[in-house]
Amino acid sequence: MQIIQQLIQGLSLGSIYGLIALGYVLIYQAWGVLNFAQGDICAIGAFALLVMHVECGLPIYVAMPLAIIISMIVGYIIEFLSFRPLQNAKNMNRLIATIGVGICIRNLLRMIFGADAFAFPSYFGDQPVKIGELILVPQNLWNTVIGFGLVFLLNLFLKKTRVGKSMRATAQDKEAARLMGINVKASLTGTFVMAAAIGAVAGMLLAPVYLFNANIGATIGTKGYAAAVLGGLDYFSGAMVGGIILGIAECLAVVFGSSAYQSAIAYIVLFLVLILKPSGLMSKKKAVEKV
Amino acid sequence: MTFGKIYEKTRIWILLLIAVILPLTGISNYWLHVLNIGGIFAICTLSLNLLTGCTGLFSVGHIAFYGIGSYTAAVLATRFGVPFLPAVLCGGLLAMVFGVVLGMPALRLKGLYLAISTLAFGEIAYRVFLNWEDVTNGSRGILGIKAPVLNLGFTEINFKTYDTYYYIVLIFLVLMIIFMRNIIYSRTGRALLSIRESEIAAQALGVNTVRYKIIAFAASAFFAGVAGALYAYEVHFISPESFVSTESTTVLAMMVVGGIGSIPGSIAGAFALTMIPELLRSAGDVRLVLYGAAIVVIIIFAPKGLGGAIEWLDNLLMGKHKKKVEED
Amino acid sequence: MALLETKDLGITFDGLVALEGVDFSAEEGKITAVIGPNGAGKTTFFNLVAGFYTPTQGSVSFEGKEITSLKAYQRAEAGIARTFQNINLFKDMSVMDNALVGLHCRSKSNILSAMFRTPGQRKEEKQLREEVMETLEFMGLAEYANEKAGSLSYGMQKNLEIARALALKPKVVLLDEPASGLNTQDLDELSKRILNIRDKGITVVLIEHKMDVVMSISDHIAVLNFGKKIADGTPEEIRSNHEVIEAYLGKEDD
Repeated sequence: MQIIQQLIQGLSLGSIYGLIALGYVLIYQAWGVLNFAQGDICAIGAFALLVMHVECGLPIYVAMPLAIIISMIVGYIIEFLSFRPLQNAKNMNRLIATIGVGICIRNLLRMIFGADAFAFPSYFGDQPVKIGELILVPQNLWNTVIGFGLVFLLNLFLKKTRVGKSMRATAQDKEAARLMGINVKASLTGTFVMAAAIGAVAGMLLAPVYLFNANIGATIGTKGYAAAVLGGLDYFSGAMVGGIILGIAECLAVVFGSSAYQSAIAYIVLFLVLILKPSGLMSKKKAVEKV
Repeated sequence: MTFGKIYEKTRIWILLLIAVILPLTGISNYWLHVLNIGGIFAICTLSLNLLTGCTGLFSVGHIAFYGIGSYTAAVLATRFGVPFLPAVLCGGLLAMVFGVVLGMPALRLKGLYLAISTLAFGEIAYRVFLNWEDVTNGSRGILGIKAPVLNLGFTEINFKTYDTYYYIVLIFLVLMIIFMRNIIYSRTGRALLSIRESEIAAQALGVNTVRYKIIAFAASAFFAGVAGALYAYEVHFISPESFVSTESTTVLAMMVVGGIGSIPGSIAGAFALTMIPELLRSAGDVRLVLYGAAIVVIIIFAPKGLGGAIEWLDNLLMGKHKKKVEED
Repeated sequence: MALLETKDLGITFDGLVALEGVDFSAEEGKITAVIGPNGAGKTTFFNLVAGFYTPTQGSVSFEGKEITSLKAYQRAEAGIARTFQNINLFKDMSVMDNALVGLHCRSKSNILSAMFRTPGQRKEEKQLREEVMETLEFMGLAEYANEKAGSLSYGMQKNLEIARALALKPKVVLLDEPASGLNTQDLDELSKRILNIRDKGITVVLIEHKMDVVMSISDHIAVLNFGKKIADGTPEEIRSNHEVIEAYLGKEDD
């Protein structure tokens, strides 16, 4: 029974990891760089909601969209200041710039909110639902539903809408997209801002079930990064798969091992998966080397 | 003899002289400590540069090797009374063993996938430091790492103060620079560089790329481990918090801000990113915000890093810029 | 005597046959050309011989010993050097260092002797540098020794590819389209150099599209088409072979 309980827990946690990973994948596909500040963008979403909902007393259905918009604006500023100027720079340099951005955001949040953990209210009520011996926390259920829902909507958006299609085209081949009359610059910005929005949602959903403080960006960013690579960076739904594997591995570690080594076990799983399937679980690309 | 010629001949010695007399200038203990930490990080950054800059293998978990070296030296010193040099050496060697163990499976992986396996390794190492209480004393850390003592027979030199330990760090840093240089300009170094440039061409010329990647991991981990051990003796107290994964990104940032592949750059990067937060201390909480921003600004405006700027200045002082203009 | 030999050599990628049943031999001290239309499998053939692909059928032997299971670097150690069709230099390394990597197999200093610059290591390094200068001179690259390989002109980069392979002191060198992209003057020089290489006692196998180069310097020619060998013989025999003319020469614009 405990195993099922932890599986449900893992699924819920994993869907959020998946959402964080999705932000990584979106930006990676469009910009060709892993955004190490993605975890901190998630944190911005969570804190923006905290301010809007708890401090300003706005109802959740107003506060949430507002917080998402704030994160998108911050996302735009980040893109403008640190991504666009480095568009043609070496990959490693761009990567480190995102680390710099992460440090910047993390410490800004710390200046404003202090270093202590915050108690984020649970937006979906605290009353657990009991089914037999299973205890279901509403927030966990909602996290799973929203996580999967967003991935589904995103897929729909990218495949069916004009804007989404041009974003995908830009991600695949910028030159070809330009020739087809797509505004590449706008597509890139759009993708970044969208990734910021998804990150913000992930942060909001994670905050009530996680020990959340201003420094959390680094930790959850690592999870998102790990999940993204685990799933395979060239495949959207891979992010979700990677996230869920990571989430479940963490939670099952509690059952079979000690909670102290919880995330270590998750990383061991990650390590083994990488060794066995070097380019990510969902990757379709064959690892045939061109000579 | 022109100024440029004199400069070219003497620059290393002048730099070394400045480094040697620095503690005698009445510099405060606090800044000596900052300099020592900078020097130790410079060794760690150089070790990362050997792996990433020279061989093109990414490590996002380098602090794990540093941590392993640190804990090894600390445990040997506090539990078994092992003296300084053997303890530091053992720290390096154990880190090297882990470097090889990590390096072997990691060879199957490329680029980002290799990077994430090193990240996973770093996270696992941190958990072990935190939870293997019997050895690491968990989150309470290891206290009372005694300063190295040099017994000259008639008298003993105790490297307890920052200004004396400074010279130990300096010696290790100078050795590290010499070793790095010697490696780069050797058969081994060329093999490592060739792997970074084109693995396929390297193989075609008979370089056993698997073997040299493991060598790169082993050497890099060894030097990082030595740096970690030096750190333990500098602060006399270590805890897992010094080896969290964000520290790995700090070392990575030091390397890139310094300029990938550049030896002077790595050193400058390490000192700059150690000192910037301290210089900004008066700015209060905003200092780390500025620190993050500084990284971004340096990368945008100096893509070759501080190493590129140093090279430019170096050439200017040697009078090489003028020559170039004349040639044109 | 055949220095390099393949028997029934073939490879399949994902069910797609790229090369099938190729019997090939290169005589010691001779220049053997491998020609064929684009996509005939010539570079694949080189990659199999040099050990970059593992064949799905057949075998490769060198100096009478089977080497099919040897890795690429082991074949280089055994004396098989190669160049790449799309220049594959170490762009950020100096011209000299590029060539020095070619001497890797024939030197033996290790990381420890390098760290401490032992007398033996220093002596070896000095010898290597002297030796590599000879090779650079031979390919007309001596004056560029300290330039970055990436900053050389196209023609010089092609020369460096060959110099690097020659630095191995190989028994056989595989040249993959050495003439592509060169102008007429450079072509003459290249032909002379290839003949010089042969005269040094190094067996040459080359892939080439430029028919005049192939016909003028080759001792023997093998023709591939659609992954199969369709003909084999002296330049005169090839010139008059109907199947070859149909498959290849007839379509050639040069």
